[in-house]
Amino acid sequence: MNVNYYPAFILMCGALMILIQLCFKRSHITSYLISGLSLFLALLTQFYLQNHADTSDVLFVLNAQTSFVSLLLLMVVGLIWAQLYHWLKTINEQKEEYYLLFLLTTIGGLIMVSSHHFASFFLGLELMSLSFIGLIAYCGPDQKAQEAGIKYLILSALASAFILMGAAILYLQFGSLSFSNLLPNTSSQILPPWAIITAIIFIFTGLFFKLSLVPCHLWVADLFEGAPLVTAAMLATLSKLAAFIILWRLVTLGHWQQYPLIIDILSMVAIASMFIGNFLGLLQKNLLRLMAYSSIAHFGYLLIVLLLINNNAIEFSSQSFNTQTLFFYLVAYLFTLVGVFSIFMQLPKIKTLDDLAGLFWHHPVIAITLMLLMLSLAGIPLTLGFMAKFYLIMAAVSQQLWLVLSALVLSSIIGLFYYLRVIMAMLKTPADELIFKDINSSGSSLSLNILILFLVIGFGVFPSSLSQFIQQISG
Amino acid sequence: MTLFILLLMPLLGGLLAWYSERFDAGLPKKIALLSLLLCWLPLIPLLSSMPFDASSLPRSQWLIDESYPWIPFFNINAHLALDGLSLLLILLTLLMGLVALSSAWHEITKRTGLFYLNLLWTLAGVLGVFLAIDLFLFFVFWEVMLVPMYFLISIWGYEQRHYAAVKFFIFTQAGGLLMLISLCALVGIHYQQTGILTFDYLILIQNPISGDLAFWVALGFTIAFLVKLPALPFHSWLADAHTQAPTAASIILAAVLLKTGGYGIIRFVLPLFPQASIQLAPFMMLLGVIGIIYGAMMAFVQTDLKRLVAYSSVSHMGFVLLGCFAFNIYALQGAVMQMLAHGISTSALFVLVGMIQHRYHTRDLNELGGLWLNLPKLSAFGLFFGIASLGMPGLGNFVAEFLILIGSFAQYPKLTILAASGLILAAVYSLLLIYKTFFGQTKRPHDSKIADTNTKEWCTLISMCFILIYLGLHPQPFFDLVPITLMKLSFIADDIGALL
Repeated sequence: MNVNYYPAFILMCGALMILIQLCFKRSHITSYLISGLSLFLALLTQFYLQNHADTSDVLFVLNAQTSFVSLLLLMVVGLIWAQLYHWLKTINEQKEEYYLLFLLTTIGGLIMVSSHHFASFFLGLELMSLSFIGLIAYCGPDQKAQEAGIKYLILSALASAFILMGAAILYLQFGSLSFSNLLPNTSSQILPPWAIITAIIFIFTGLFFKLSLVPCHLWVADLFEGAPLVTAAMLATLSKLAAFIILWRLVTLGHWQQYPLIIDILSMVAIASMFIGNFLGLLQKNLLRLMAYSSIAHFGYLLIVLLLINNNAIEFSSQSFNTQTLFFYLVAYLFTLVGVFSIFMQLPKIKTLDDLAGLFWHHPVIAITLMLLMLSLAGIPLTLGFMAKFYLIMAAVSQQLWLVLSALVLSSIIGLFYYLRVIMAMLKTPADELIFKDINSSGSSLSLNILILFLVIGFGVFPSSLSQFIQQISG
Repeated sequence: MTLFILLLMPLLGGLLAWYSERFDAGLPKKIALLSLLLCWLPLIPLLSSMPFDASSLPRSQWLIDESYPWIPFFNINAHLALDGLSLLLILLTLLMGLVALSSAWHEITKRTGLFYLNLLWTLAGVLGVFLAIDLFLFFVFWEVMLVPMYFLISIWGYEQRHYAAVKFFIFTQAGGLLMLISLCALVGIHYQQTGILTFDYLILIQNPISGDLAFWVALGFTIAFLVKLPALPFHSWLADAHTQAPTAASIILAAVLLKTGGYGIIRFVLPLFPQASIQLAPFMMLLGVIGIIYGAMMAFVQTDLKRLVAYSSVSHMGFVLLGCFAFNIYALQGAVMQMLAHGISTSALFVLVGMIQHRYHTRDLNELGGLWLNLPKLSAFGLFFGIASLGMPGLGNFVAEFLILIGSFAQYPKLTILAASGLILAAVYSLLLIYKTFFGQTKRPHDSKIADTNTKEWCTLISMCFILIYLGLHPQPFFDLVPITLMKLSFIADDIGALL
């Protein structure tokens, strides 16, 4: 077997081992360790493969870029996993199956980010979505979780149906399901252009649903609020990362930017997502709903990357720089987001902004970490989030996308309001100090916070090494 | 290394002050004082070797120039440099830092460690803004100095502090984002025109960009600076932020944070966009004049003492804007002088308001009155700084406003005449302030426990008086220090020949 498939294979073995273990003896700690070990091994292998991966076959493309994305995905999942044990202890359900589903979604994501064919893409998508349904509705008696699970089930089935339909129309035109054959060949035009555009819109609809971009965003806040916290973290990071990578690959490989209508749709969706996400975030009291809307806005910013046309004539608009922008933004956003979610996991009782009141005076380390993460999301300099925004603005300015840029400026200002509200809430005098009693401030979570700060602030102040690394892989 | 040490001193001092609160709540302020005093050390060799006369001026613009690579990927350097203009503003910053410290000494009793951390970090950010010569670094300092200031207002401020802090942050961030986009566009255009990718001011200035976009890029920069200055449509954060901030933060805001706007225009907008700034000038002059009159008129309807002083700042900073865009050496020197004089006189007024509030727990003009009877020393200082802000000859403010008006009269006589009416309006609100606070009926029975200025306050205020008088009587050294002829302001060279 090709060495490049080892990370996914290791995770698969981990999932199978948990299944086998469940037949004999239930043990939370064993499942935790098995999943951790397989994640760790997969991460190590992936890390080793970073410099060796360069093959492609019909279904998958495995080069430095996909390898980097897989590495990023595994790191994000690993950071979430680190908090999983403490968090699972607080719920009253069987715990072992959570690890099983957790690994399965990860495998689904891994398959998706390196897929190069509609078959492998769909396989990964379904593996991920179906496991997510289980993860979302995991807390049985909780009505909100049940509701969220059903919502996700129906909507993701619908989204898959759209993607399938789109893929079918494209197959009709190109006679192949491979992404590399997507390039339109004028000599053998079978379908009229509008049919292809329809197919593209179908696929967009499905992927926009996964990315919760406007107008397919209505589910996301309910889901973040209803689903178990770790599931919400996975939804916000893993699922969106995989879907965005696929979207980006389809758009670049198929040269979909050649259709003016597609460009218009992308810019409209980007602008609408920025504004609607940030406006809806303004008045949220629930922290998870707030993060849900913030993620709509952030993927709206990220859509700008798809509007960048590869034009080697101008500096900062080459294919390479656009790819770098995408990767840098993904790294910055995902690390920040994982940080935010791991802080939330350390604060199990805190659900709303008012509950945060006075956190700064009781647990300064946690509060400062959350504060800096919020500043990173808002894009204040010396954080990773700012560097990402800088890349994005640099790329967009050099292509003179003034419309989306002005939307970016205006909506970031609106967004600043609610990031500041979180910070401000922590600075208030506490109303009820009992709420902080359950805060998990053990050494392990402290060291995790320090790691996150190191990533977000360290790379924010000295981004050179990260920039160079990303330049290498996308060069 | 000198300039980096200068920057690091308050940063480290702040951290130390925060940590030291664990041992003793009185320790942070001493550490803050020490670190501010240590900041003067790197400057001493510079000040002692600098002769204050025109004949021996340095031939190059930059007195110290230090650069280290930072983000080689974008060719961004940590490039700090100091010239006469930044030296003056840094001296102002350090002085006003001491004044702010003195006013916070007894006023801040809660969470002292964190307070001094934020105070020192704000000062470090402002120092960075005045020193950074790489545009990216400048932008970083420009944005980052707002964060500790935001905390200063929102934790230690008065009743409506959260509202004021958010308003302040969002206004200035909006300007900042606009500047970021203009910055990227500037670098991109410069790259297209010359093939050099750089954020370095010294390189960018050699080939000013041209074309249609240059105007919009210049406008983006100018608006970002106007927000901070603040000029009229963007001024509304100022009144709230000044009023709600604790005294020390008001002092920093008025004395140095506003100056970053004027500094930005003189340092970046005028030399980098010579063509565009000539196009922009009439509008900016108009904005300046409107700001002068509007600020003064708003000032004299206020009943809140702090708000009155805040609006008077809008009026005074209108003169700076006027001076910057008059394209004339006199007006430009007047603008620099105005920044210094306004920094001192207004922050002195904020110190006085802080003292009054500390003693009487009110800043309402209708509840104050007749302070002279009880607090003669404090009231005498009030009188002095009140007439300083109305532009009494012999004090720094007069020199500044006079030069600005002379300089801009040549090109814009009508606007200048309107601007001059601001001097009369300034007299109206300053005298109103003096009359309502220090003279008139005593509104409340005298409380013998309320003491007049103590030695520390007296020393602070008297030294500010002397600086203002010195600025007014012997301003020439300061003019010599600002190397306007060396600053590559191309339009100036012709004027000098004509006028001298």
